[in-house]
Amino acid sequence: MCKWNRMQARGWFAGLVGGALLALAAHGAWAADKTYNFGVLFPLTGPNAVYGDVFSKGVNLAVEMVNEGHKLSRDIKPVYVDSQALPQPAVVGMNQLVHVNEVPYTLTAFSGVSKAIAPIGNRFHVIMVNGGGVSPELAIGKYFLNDIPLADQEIGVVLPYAVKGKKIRKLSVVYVDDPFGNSVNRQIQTHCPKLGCRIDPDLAVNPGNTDFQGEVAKIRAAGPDAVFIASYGQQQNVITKQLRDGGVKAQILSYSGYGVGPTLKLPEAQGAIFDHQSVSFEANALSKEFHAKYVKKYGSEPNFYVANYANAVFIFADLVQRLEAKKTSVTGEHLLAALHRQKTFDVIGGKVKFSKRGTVSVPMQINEIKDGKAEPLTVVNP
Amino acid sequence: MLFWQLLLQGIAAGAGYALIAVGFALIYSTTRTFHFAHGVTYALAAYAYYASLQTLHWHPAAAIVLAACIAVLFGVGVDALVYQPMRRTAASFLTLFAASFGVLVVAVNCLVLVFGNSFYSLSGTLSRGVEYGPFVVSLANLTEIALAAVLIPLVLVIMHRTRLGTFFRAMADNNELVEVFGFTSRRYVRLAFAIGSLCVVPAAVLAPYIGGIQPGTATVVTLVAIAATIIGGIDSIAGAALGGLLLGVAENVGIWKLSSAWKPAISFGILLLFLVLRPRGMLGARGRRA
Amino acid sequence: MLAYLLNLAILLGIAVILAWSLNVLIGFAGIFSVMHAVFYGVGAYVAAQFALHVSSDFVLSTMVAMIVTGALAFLVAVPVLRVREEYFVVAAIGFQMVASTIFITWESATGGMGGLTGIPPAKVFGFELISPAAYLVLTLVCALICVLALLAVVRSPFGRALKALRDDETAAIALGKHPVKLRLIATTIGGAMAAIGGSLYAFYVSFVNPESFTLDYSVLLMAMVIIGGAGSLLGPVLGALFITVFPALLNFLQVPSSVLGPVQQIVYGMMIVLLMLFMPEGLVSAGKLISRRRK
Repeated sequence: MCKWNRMQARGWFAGLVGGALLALAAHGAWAADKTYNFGVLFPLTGPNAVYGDVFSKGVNLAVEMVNEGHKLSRDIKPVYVDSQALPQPAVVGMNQLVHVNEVPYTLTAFSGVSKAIAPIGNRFHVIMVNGGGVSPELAIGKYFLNDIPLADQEIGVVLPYAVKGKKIRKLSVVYVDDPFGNSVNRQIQTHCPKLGCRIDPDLAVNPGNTDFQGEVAKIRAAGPDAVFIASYGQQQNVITKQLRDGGVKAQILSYSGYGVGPTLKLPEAQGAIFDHQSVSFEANALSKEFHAKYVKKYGSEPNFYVANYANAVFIFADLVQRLEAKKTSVTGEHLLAALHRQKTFDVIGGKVKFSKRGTVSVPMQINEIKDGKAEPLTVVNP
Repeated sequence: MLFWQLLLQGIAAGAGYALIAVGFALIYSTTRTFHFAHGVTYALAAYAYYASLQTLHWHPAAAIVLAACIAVLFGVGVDALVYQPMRRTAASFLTLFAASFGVLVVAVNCLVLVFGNSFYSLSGTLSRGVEYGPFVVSLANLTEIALAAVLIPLVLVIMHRTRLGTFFRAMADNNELVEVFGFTSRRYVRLAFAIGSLCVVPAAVLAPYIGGIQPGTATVVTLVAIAATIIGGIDSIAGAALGGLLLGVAENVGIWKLSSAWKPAISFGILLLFLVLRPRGMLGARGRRA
Repeated sequence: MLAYLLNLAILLGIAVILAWSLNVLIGFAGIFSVMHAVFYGVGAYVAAQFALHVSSDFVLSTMVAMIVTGALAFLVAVPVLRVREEYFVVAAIGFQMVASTIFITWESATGGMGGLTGIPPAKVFGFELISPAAYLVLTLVCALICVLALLAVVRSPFGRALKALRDDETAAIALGKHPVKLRLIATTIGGAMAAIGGSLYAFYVSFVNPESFTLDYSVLLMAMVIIGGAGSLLGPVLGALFITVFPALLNFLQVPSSVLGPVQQIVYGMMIVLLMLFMPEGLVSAGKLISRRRK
């Protein structure tokens, strides 16, 4: 190390790295795509990977079915980016999808994530479709669509049913302190008094927090008839478990996010009541075909999440087909215009129609967890 | 009633913090090393216990022994590979700090690569709550309190009533003088790291039953151990234990009226208060070389 | 592809400005601060709120951010700088943790975990900067202003007093320099400069939330300064370059982001350990300066 001093050595190293990067960049630009790409921004890792896993199954099967149908001049291809269900990585991922992969259409999930990426999609005219997040505040811009009913509808159904059916006078709420949890808590605060029940206490917990001894102690001291859990992924499992471990025997209530495998199978979740949109896999030919292929491919029954994200893919393919017929280029703006012209789509579960705010209104199904499965109790129409 | 329940939980949490802090304080007072990677010892032991129990289906006793071995190996290893070479070059405190911090960063992220960012916990008789009148406490919590109540006095006994302890205290007082008398402190440094690392094992093994483990726990635990040590008095092992207990209780009782989002702020707020107003801590003596 | 490189260049520019601002504390004033992400964060939040509620003019927002952050840095430094050297590091970490909690819980100001979204594009002389290329120009202009400011500081009496303090504190005090006062001013300058980086970031990504301003990021900034070389002007640039480009390279090679993050941290963690082990003196001015201050 005598001829070069440290500074020079570092300078050369930086130059080399920069050169390598540029070389790779050039290569990337040269290799062109011959598919219709769309973005998929799911939690592929981390404590919420279970959702990404479920959603992806729906996406992948739908892509297969579309490409086998050969109705488009090119195949469609999903570009997966890991959001980890956190806003910051999601923003980085969305920027990549928009500026590097140049997708006109993206699937997204989780309210906090969606809120964070919506300005990007709106600004750069990329359609975003959410099939999993339920914050009622997700009507966020021209390019943002939800094909899942939002929490105002969900709470509006499950709460009256539970309050009347289980005679709940005092309700405790545990909610994750992010846009989703806060909006669900607000919904509960609005509905509860009208139904004649009291909220005591309502507790916000940090995302990523896994120790709820304090919350459990407070809930136990309040002695409620029911506890509403508004969280997701591993955290909702931990809350459920620690509630029961901590001696809270009250009825557990929750929303659509509770209906995933690991949560259903928790012994401590036995008897919990939650609701989600009602999806009939018998509604039309597409539904039946999808259901049969799903069971064959994955060996399990599809649920509403699977249906929502598969539908998002089918809608994309449908819109692209219409644009191809008119020989219009596939961009975000053109896709959106085609969507507004079409309004109603034939998808899994029947017909779906997007309101002006980009939301849907569908029948809701109330379930109770019995022996590791969600048993439907009743269906409520909007 | 809620207050007493939270106090009970605070004592359990404090017992865990106290064990970890005692280990840190032992290492610091004898070797003057700010062992930032101490939290990694804790995390590694917890993961080793969890993995050997869940994946390899070992008997819990064997899993505990494995956890203890890994903890000691890591502590002694970091000392041998990172701190000792730096002591030879008379590296400054800040250099040691940066290196120790580097080890913490590397180790935590290795844990993320191997185990993922998910959260692991164990269910069983230890984690279930048991009702004692109006209170609910889990066996894991009770075990933690019991172990701390036994092991910490044990450490103090070692420090004050054994020959080993006398050496440790001599090193804490004046390292160079000990060397002059012909005793190689190298062996005792290794012992200090070994015992200090061993201290965290009870808390680490119980962690999956109580709050669960994630890679990020290592950083948080290190910071709490340091906070407890400073609050207790940087040269006092009993002080570190007291500091740990105080933080555990403050955090849990503090959320009686506040949301639990404030837990970390409570601990670090107390630390900052001590640092600015009473840096020698609760039991530390004035004028001691830090 | 061009868009990707522009994006990278902008993020690099912001990192360089932040590294320079931290260098004022670590390299010039010898303050081993592991809480710099707090100043970055406060700058970003203030600029964002200003843009959302008053005006999205970049210069105005940034000035407001700088004033608030500088004031905060000064207020924090007054008690914290009194803490003894070894404890200062711990105090800085403690302060960072408290600040992170405040970022999450003070929802009316920061939007909590959901953050502040939809920050309007920066306006300069009435023009809205939407294209990445235009934004890169803005970033470079800011970087230029920062480096000129730093050069001015280095050559000023204040800068010379800082150097004297760094070289031999006892002699400097004997000559009538006030170490605490000097360090207070250095911290204020460093904090205000970090606010520039925060403002650039907020306008560029249109979204700020607590995840960007954690202890992890403070350590990353510190690593940039240490690995690159504290005390010089080029050092932080190289450190920022290495730490920003390397993960971008991995991202490009389609390494999944959940692996990329840990790998990036492992690499720079190892670099810190190796540097401290083998080249603590003479390689980085921090090493030279640290060992000198111990005497």
